[in-house]
Amino acid sequence: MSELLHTLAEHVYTHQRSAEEMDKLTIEHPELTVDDAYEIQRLALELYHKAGDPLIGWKMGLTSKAKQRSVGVDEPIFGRLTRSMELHEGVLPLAGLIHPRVEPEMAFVIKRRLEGLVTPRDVWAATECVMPALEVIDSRYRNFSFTLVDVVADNASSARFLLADQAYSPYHTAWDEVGVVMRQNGDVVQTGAGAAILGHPVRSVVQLVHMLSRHGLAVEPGMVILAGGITEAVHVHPGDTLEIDFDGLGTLRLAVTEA
Amino acid sequence: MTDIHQLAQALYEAQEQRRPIPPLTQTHALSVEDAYQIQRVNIERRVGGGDSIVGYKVGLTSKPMQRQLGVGEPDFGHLLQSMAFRHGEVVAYPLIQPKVEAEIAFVLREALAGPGLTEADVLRATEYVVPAIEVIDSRIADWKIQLADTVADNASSGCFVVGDGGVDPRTLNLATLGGVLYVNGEVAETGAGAAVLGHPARSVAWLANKLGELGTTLHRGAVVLSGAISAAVPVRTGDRVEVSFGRLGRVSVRVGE
Repeated sequence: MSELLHTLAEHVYTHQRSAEEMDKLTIEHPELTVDDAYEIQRLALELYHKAGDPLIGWKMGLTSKAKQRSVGVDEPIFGRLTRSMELHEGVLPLAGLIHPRVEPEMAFVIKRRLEGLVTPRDVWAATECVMPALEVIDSRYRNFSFTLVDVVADNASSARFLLADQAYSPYHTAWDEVGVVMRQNGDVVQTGAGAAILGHPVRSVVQLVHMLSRHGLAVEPGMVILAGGITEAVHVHPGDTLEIDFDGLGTLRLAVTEA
Repeated sequence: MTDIHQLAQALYEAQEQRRPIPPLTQTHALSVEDAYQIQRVNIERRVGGGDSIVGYKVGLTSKPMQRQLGVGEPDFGHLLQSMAFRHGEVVAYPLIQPKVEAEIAFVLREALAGPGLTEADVLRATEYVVPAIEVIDSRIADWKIQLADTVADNASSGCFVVGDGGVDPRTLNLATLGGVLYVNGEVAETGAGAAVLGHPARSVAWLANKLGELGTTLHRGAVVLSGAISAAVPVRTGDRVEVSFGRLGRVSVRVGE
């Protein structure tokens, strides 16, 4: 089994790097479990690490009841963020991506180690700041279609992310009530509020720490956590401009380019 | 034009008996003007029976809804005193297949006589904005509505609840104001004011201008439900519905028999 998981991790890693679509792993390997999928994700990360691209944080997926229902699960999933996934300006080159979608997010930057059965107050005490963010998700599977096992193995569709320049104290506002408006080429395409993330974004971080603990992992100081999508993700195309307004917290802009 | 009264009667009975009917457009080629006339007939009938017009609702205020019905503008319906419930109450109203929506309601300090009104006129004429729950419903079986069906059916209105309190709309950004719709304590939908035509005040301006075209003034004290900030969520008897709009406050209601 361990050999198979290594082989699959290399397969996934290769497709993530080459931006070539692949078939669902579960077609050929229906016996794979969710734990196997997380092991594939971990092994693929080792390959990133070897290539000089270290782990800098975590992302949560399936953080709305609606999405959990659509995949038939009752808990979110997590993925790994590496250094090369972070955008440093509001430009998204499509090179290296297959069929990307963009969603508004809230990011937590952690200053103290978080592990075990933490509560929201542990998370607040360990949070340096909260920042408006956007995530670019991109499934390596054909037609963005997958099972739970597939998406976990594919690093929860992680691809790119951008954090706002301005960071806020965790006590700055009620994060569940922050309204978000996403415009694509000037038209409102999605709106939402922080409560879309498990009722409150802090619950997503709590849940992440619980899930990591089951794998013997922890959130380390300095790490960034993308708590979850606040709206549906939108497809983007070359030439698009996206503007995401976070109520009272500023605007994130993203220009989509060919290469 | 005998059809107008006959179709109005069919919708009236459907509501009274809580028995939905097939789409009017299945058997009649109705224009939107015909449909507003049918709506008017039933509203006048209820007002004649002692009810009164307390305001309006604007519907089809999101691009996805407009696309779904193949239209380029919103529609409106009338809000009657009998449709108004209070924050915290159990809604006892003859509903057939209700859904709930989170909305920002405007209460007007001054009358608005269109056409030619802008968002700024609306904000100036508004006494306060307040969170609202709109319970929408359709007298058309399975919600199989075309534009003329919903317009004739009072823009698929059911009843509504406006929260306590209220805030001057010029003290906050209504476009980015976030709203959360909870059903039985679970987040069902979230959205922000910009889902309503880019800004909810634009919806009220559209309404005042539309009413102006029809020779009606949006009256002082009117309540306007500006449009849903998210998709509508089906509800059942006993469901507890709560809408929270941050600094604007909250409103809740329970769905009755």
